[in-house]
Amino acid sequence: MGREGGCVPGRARLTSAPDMATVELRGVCKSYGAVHVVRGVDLTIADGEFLVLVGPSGCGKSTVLRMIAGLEEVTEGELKIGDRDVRGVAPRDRDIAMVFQSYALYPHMSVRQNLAFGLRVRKFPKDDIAARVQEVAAVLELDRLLDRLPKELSGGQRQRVAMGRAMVRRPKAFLFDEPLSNLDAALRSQMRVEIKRLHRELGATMVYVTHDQVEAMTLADRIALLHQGTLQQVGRPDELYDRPANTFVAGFIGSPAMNLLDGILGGERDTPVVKASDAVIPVLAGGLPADLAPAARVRLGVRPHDLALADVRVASPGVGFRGTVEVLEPLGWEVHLHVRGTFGLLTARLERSVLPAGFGAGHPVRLVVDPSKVHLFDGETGHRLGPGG
Amino acid sequence: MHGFHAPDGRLAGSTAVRWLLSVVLAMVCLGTPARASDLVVWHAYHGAEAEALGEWAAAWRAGHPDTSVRLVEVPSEALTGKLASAIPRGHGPDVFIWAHEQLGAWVEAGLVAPLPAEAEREAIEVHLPGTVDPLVRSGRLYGLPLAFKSVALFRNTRLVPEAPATTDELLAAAARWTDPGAGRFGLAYEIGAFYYQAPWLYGFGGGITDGDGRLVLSGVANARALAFAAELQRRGLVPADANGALVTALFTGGRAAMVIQGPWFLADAARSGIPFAISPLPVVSATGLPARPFLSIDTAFLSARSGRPAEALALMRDLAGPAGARIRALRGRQPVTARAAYDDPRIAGDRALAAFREQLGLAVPMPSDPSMRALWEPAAFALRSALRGDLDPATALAEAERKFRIFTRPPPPPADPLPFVLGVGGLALFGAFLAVRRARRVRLGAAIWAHRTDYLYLVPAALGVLALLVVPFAVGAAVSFAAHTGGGEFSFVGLENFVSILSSRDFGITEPESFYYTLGVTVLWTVLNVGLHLALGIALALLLREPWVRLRGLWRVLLIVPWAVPNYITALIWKGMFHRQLGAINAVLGWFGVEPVGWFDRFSTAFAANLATNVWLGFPFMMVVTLGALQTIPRDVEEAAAIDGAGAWTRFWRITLPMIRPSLVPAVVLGSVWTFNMFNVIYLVSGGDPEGRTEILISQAYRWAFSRQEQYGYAAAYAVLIFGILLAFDLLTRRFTRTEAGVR
Amino acid sequence: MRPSLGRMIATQAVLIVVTLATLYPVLWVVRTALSSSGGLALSSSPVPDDPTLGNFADVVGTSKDGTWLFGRQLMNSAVVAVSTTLVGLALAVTAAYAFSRFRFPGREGGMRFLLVTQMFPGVVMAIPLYILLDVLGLLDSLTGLTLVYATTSLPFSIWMLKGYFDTLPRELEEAAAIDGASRFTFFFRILLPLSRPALVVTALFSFMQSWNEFILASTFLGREESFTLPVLLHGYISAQHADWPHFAAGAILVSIPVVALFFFLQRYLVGGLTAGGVKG
Ligand SMILES: Nc1ncnc2c1ncn2[C@@H]1O[C@H](COP(=O)(O)OP(=O)(O)OP(=O)(O)O)[C@@H](O)[C@H]1O
Ligand SMILES: [Mg+2]
Repeated sequence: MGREGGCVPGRARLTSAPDMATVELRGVCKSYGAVHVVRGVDLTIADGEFLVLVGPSGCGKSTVLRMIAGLEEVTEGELKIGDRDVRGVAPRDRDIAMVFQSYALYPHMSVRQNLAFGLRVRKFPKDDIAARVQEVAAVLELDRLLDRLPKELSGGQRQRVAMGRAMVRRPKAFLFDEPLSNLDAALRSQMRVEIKRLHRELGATMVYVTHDQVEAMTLADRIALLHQGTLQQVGRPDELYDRPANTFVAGFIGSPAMNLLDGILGGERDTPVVKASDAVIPVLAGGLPADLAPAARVRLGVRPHDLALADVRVASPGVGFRGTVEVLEPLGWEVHLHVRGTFGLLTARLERSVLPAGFGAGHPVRLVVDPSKVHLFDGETGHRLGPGG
Repeated sequence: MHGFHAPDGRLAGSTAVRWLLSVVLAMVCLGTPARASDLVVWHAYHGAEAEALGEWAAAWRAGHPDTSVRLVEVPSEALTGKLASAIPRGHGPDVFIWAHEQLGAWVEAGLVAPLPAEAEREAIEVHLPGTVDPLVRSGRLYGLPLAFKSVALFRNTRLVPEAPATTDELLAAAARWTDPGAGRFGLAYEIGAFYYQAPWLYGFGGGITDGDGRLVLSGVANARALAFAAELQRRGLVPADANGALVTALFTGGRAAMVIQGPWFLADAARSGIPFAISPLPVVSATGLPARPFLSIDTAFLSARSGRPAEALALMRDLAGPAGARIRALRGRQPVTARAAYDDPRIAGDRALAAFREQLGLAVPMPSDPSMRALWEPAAFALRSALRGDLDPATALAEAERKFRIFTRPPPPPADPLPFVLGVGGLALFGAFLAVRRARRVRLGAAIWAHRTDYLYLVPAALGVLALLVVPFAVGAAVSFAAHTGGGEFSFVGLENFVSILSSRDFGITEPESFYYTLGVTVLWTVLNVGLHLALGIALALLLREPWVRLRGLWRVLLIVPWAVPNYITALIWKGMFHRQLGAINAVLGWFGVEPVGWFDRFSTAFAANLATNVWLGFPFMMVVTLGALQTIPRDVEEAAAIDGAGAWTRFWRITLPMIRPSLVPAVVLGSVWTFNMFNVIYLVSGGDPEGRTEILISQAYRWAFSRQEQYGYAAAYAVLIFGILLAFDLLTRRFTRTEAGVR
Repeated sequence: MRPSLGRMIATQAVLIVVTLATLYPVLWVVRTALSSSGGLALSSSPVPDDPTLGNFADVVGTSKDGTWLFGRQLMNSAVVAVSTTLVGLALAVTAAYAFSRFRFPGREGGMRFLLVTQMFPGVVMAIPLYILLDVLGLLDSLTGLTLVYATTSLPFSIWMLKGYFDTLPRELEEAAAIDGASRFTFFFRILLPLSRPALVVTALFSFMQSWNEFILASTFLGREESFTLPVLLHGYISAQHADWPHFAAGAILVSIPVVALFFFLQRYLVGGLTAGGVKG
């Protein structure tokens, strides 16, 4: 690889782009014939913001990105880049750059030519091109690779060339379509840092598509979560994590995923509980909407690390989840417990040190949760009940 | 120009530029017509005869400074077709030289002009008896005779000192020298060619015309003549399947004691250094009649569209007359027809010419009736099946005559075009209506408008294809609704041609001329060829892409050679390789103790010979396409599969093939279409043998057009049907290719 | 992956055998061309008995009235074949690009139609073509012949090129579009350089096709000075007598440029350029 960790000192500084831009989508739809791939997306990406589009495979992320790039036409709705309506504007005239998942380097051109291509076709003066290529190559540490062909590069090097190709043009906005998905884990985390730094230095608007939530959480100023062509939630990473707008977001963000169980609302008005089978979980009264029916069906969400081990022998029968350990996964500092009970299956994430000696599969356990850490969702719609909902 | 010496590189460069310029200028000038004062003569002479013609032309120019002559040597394969296209459109020559047999057809087509009566009177005086009559049709003389050509008996005088006077003597002399095991034959001639059979027909008292001058084939005498030839071959006195090249090789190699050949053989015979003599063909012992070969007269014809017929005639008279004849006899060793030439002692002393002149007295002018051209094919098939012993001679001849009658049947009666026009018009309207309705429904207009710039990319190609492929085909296809009534005249016959072909009205369904039989052969031909092309091409491409194979570039180049050499010559070489006695294939089989195979005697082997040739010709194309396709797929996918435990076989079928399939599909579809219409190989290798059983649709179409009475309408109907079949094939595979396209 | 020694030897052996079998008939052509007698040789060995270069000298020396016909016709052939290739390729490349990259109505129909033109049996087309060229005033000119050849090879070229273009990833085009390249720039700076293998195969094909063609050339051209080499070659074959040695010598002379061309161009077939750029 020939590349040390992301040390910053001694690096050339990048000149930042002159004017920057917001990207604005209003009710954007995309359909291929009768197939509706993107349905009414409203999204405003602020100038200089790093927005990450996440969602499961096939949800329409690439499509949204490609519409912004101008590679796909917008079927319906409005699309603006920096106050300009760009529908019908060719990609080349949108002043954006894009990094493709497959890199799409020009196979017959050297790294230098690949970097220079965008400037050459825009008729930049030769000296200017050379200077910019040099600058970018220095930043991305591509100096010694400039005369190689793409096929003579490693995956990570190609990835950097692809980034460099976007950077030399100093566009208003960068678009990334899963640029790291072809890399190994180590390189990926390294490149993540790299991209983050780039964003900081350039201050350009960046739209970044991934289905990897770690990338999403670490990189994003804001995350937009897409599911089946509709936006589920847009917000800061911690917002999505702390107050998921619906069960889909709740299940998607966070690893291991949030436990979601069916339950029925019960208890008193000021001391409500949720009953999931024989488990009785106290919840906070404050966040519940006033018009909620007394025995409403709800979805109960608990993050695995919010579960705590409690004494099994305690008399009070209903409180907490009672079950037996099915699988115990040791992960060094922590362990993941998979517990089966009448309510179904739960995953708990615990510090290894809290486990008694000899604890393992087959042991009966009781898991409890702090009422303030319980997420409640509408049983029918999946929408969040309570604050942030 | 040539004295110029470039002193340095810069100047040399500028001469290169000047040279290029002159090439460009030359190209431009190529389009300019001949100088008006040139009289143009087309001929197909080659070698000494062409040189003689050139010498005569030089002499003519010297004597006629104001009417110069320009000779154009046209390959004989092309000459008749070229005349038929060029003369009616005014691009033909003033004079052309060809054998007299075509006269009937040319008179019908109005290509030749009759000569004035005084020219006829003069011709009879000037030329040898028997050489002017064949040029007379309906009482008018067309053309002036130049030379007479017939075969005679050449013998190696060391082996056969005395000319055999009778066939018994001939057989006795031949038997003495014959030893097929050693490749020695007493007599060699193109035994399977009907032209060489004519002497025996006449010698046995038969012939090809009846009392009224009608062409016939059957008859007891002709059957006996065929039996005689079969006997020659059966006793091994004459090699089977001999072609001209083989006969030449046998004689010049001292391995044939006698050959039956014409004046065109003189140069080869002389060059070989073998002492030889020529004598007329012997008398047939069984009948006491002389064996009489066909006579054909090389004739100078006057084009019907010559702009200056009087001058052209003067030119012809000089060429045919004593002055021209002397040059042609001396320089070209032609058996010239002008009597006066023989006053020249050098010509009179030419023993070969004397022998041919002697044979002339016994030769039979070839009928110049247009229908004669339809006789050759059935006659040759009959002769060859008799030689093989497949049919007894009488049956074979009767069968051939039946076919001949079918080929020369009168064209169908003209049909009333009105209902046809109404029908076609109605269909077209209905089609247009459907198209418009569909276009409306899918809002085609808007879609087309949205993509209007896309179409600009297609305009140049579309124009070319439309003008130079579609229009000519449409015009040609339109002929399928007409019948050629002779002489370039057509009459509208509606769907008659199609009805006749599709109902197989004239032929039993299993006869080789039946549409359905031929279709079956064609399909088999196409499937096997394309399959083998693919298999071989892919296999070799896979071997050749292995990085560790040594000399990859060399193999690649050598393996593509079959594709690079023009196929008309390699096809002929392959035919030679399949020769029963002398071919390499039988020689190789002989090492394994296999008896020599008569490759063209049976359908299966003849078909296999065609197939081998075409596979050889076609696999390099598939190999190159596959190599190209393999370049585009990453090796790592296959490596991954190998690691997954897939064997080479599985890897190929599951990984490699599916990946190169998109690039191969067009090649396969195109390859099928080309193979379906691969005329050259069939025509040159098996020639349809046996009995036309290996013909494919396209070669049948050619036969209908060119060797069966110029039934252009019928041939065009064949072409339209071929087109229809391929179209149907395409529609059938459409789903398959559609999914292919859908991937992208 | 380097296979076992046994497999390598087997592979080389197969190649040698197949190549020998392939070359055998060609060696026969060579033998015939080198032979001094008029007929075909009578043994199965392709080694000539008394080789002579006289036939080649005769063919090359063909001339008439002080014009070096062979040279002239060689030049005609070269001019026709080269211009056919260039014209055909230029038309084919643009059309194939449109067929591969644009989604206009009639696209599939157009491709099918091109295939359909390959189904036209030539037997019915020669005379209408003759008349057409006459009307256009292109008879007896190399320009006319070039146009006919170029269009005849067009459908094939378009199909081959379109098939190849299809294998080039769309992302390249999109990347170029974002980089600011026009269709034109993409076409010339990216698509064409990347398609070199296909272009070479297609060009070779058009070249060979027109270089070897005989029937149309002999029908449309009217003077010996305007004939192409195959026409000269066929002069050695007549109804009654075929001069094989000269014909074979001529055939070899005609084939040499094609074989040479393939030899020099074959390294372009080994490009494999797309391998590195697109996939990780
Ligand atoms: N040309 C097309 N025609 C019809 N459907 C399409 C087309 N292109 C994409 N789709 C569909 O649109 C949906 C969204 O595609 P898109 O490429 O945007 O997904 P994605 O979110 O980027 O997925 P991934 O994470 O796998 O890349 C998919 O279900 C896909 O099948
Ligand atoms: Mg995607």
